[in-house]
Amino acid sequence: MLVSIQLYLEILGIYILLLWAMYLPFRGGQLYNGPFYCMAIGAYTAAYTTKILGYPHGVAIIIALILATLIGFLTSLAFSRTTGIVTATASMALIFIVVAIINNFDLIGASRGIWGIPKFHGLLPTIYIVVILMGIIVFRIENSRFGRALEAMRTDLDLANTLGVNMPHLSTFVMTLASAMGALAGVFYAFTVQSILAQNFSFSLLLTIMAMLFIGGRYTMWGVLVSAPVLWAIQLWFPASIAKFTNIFYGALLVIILVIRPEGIISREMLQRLTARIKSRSRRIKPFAASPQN
Amino acid sequence: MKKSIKVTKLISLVLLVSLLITVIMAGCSSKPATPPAPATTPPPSTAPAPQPATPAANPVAVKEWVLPTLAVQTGPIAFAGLPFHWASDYAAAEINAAGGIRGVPLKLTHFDSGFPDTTKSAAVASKAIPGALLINGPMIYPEVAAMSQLIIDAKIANINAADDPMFLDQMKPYGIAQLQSYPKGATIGGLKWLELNPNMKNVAIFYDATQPELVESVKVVTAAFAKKNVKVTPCETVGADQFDFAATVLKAIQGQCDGFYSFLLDFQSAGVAKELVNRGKKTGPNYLMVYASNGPALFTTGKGFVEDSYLWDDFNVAATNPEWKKFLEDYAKQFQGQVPTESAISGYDAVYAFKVAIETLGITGDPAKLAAERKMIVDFLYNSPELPGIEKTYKYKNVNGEKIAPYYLVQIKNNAFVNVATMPNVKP
Repeated sequence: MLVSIQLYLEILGIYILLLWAMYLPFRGGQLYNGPFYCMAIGAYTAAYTTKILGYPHGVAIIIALILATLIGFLTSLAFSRTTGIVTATASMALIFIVVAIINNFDLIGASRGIWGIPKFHGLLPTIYIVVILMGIIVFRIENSRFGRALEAMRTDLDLANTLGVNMPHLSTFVMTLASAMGALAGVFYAFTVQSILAQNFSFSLLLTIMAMLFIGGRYTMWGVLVSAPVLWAIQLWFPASIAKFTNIFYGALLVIILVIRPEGIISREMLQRLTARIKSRSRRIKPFAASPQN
Repeated sequence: MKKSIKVTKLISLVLLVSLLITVIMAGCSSKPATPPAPATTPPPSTAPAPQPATPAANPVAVKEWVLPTLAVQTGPIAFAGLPFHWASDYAAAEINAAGGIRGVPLKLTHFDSGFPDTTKSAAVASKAIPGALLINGPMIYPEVAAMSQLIIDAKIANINAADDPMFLDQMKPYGIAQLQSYPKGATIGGLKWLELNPNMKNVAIFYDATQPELVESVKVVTAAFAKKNVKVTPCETVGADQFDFAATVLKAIQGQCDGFYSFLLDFQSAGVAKELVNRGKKTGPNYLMVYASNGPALFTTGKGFVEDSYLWDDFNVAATNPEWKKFLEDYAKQFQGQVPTESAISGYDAVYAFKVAIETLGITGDPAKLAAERKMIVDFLYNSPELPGIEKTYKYKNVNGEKIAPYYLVQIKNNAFVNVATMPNVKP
């Protein structure tokens, strides 16, 4: 059971990182799939540097992060000038291209992958420290002028333009940050499973993450904290006879959510109402606290 | 507007209720396909009877033996995983009908190993391993890779699909091969085929470039064929979901190949044969397939296109012992007249290997002795005696858990396999 719990928490942390990586560009109306190929690059770099070159895990994380983020930055320079279906399709195509390159690159094991990646002691707390840090960064971006600029971009590109939003720069920034988060997810994935193949980063993972994002709520960063634990738990802790239908559940839930509540389980309106309610309650409590005679 | 919202919510409610009903029914129908009533005669003991430990010295501490069985039940290759589960249950039913293992019944717990979602593979392994003495499956390389570290950390024997010595080496001594070495079989089978077709000078090999053991096998076969002055033209496909082979076959035709060697799955080998014939090439004796092509589609999609073609297999599909014949009949009843796949046969054999290990070693199943008894089973299987298979005996070699048993070359005549040659498992 302990192995199950640890695996659950580690993979959950990885999913949350990936989901926030997908969420950030989507906040600006861009369906950017770069986190997935950066995840593959990050994972392979981390695996190669620890298993083959023998570097410590900390060094491997830094090298993987720099390399994958650089590649993510370079591709985002092109994607920052595209929108909508073009960005989605082209970035998805890059996933398949990266997977094909990995499968033909003998230096990193090609289609054999890399096995026996050295264990990273303290992986679970490391993952969650990074998740919390990334959460703070995403929250700060959301509640800053960057977040408002992204909102303007999502609403209307021409409107954003007239408001002085530098769309290519902003898109590049969020896509690069998303790529970095994807790279970290890849590094942690490699250290969790300790063996990787190019197939680990393919269409199946993309569909899982998209389902979690849309079900949880794609217009707020908090939705993933609801959908990811629940949907991942189906695979791990439901009885085998039910867990084998995971893909059907994901698909059915996605359809139901898109029909009855297209914004997802956690919407911005829900969060605003909740925030308002908390504030009004705290205002009501304060007058009583101020006068000790009562 | 309000009406349309109400209608939408009603539709959603209906969908939600349907989903719940599906969940409940899925939970209720959790049993895999029921195997038929087992044979009344004892199961095959094609090996010398093992010498069990004295019962009194090692009393069994469990009410049932539990053997986790991992193979795909959903997804693109579920057609290969479901027979594995069925055949494993078949073996368990036979064993229980004969009194169980050390007088205690055997129960299989079935898990969907999740291909192509390898995160799911790791997840099911973490569920299957606690308390288990051995893990049966999975049967495809990416799943084995995803589970490998969990298996190694648990120090538990795992009879799995990683049949290439290089992969088994990564998991030794815990990885035990379900099947004989793929590159070795591909070479031995290929060389025998060349003997039967001495005029072939240029062979096209159709293979999935995303599967590492196939990539390795192509290199090994190319080197072996070169020694016989036969050129190889590699023709790649791109995964288990490729259905159109025009481009792949065109490459073979443009390479002026006179022999065709398919490393693909059944429906793909059938598709390639069909494409070759439609483009004016003959299949027949100059078409060789690997064991993975032994599947239902070979005789449906491939009917008429693979007549007189050869196939090498790890299993003696044309064996004549009565237990095998009964297995063939029961399998055909369950799976619409099909011939057992290698995954079904290996699932069956693995269950018997588990039985022999428990009986020979006097395993008790006592949770307090779990680590020690896991080690005993690992050591036993890693360098095993002859073990009983449904159609032959075999053993595991202590170099890296490699399975040592003959290969068989069969030919397709009137939609059935006919034995052509038995080929010893020695390095060519």
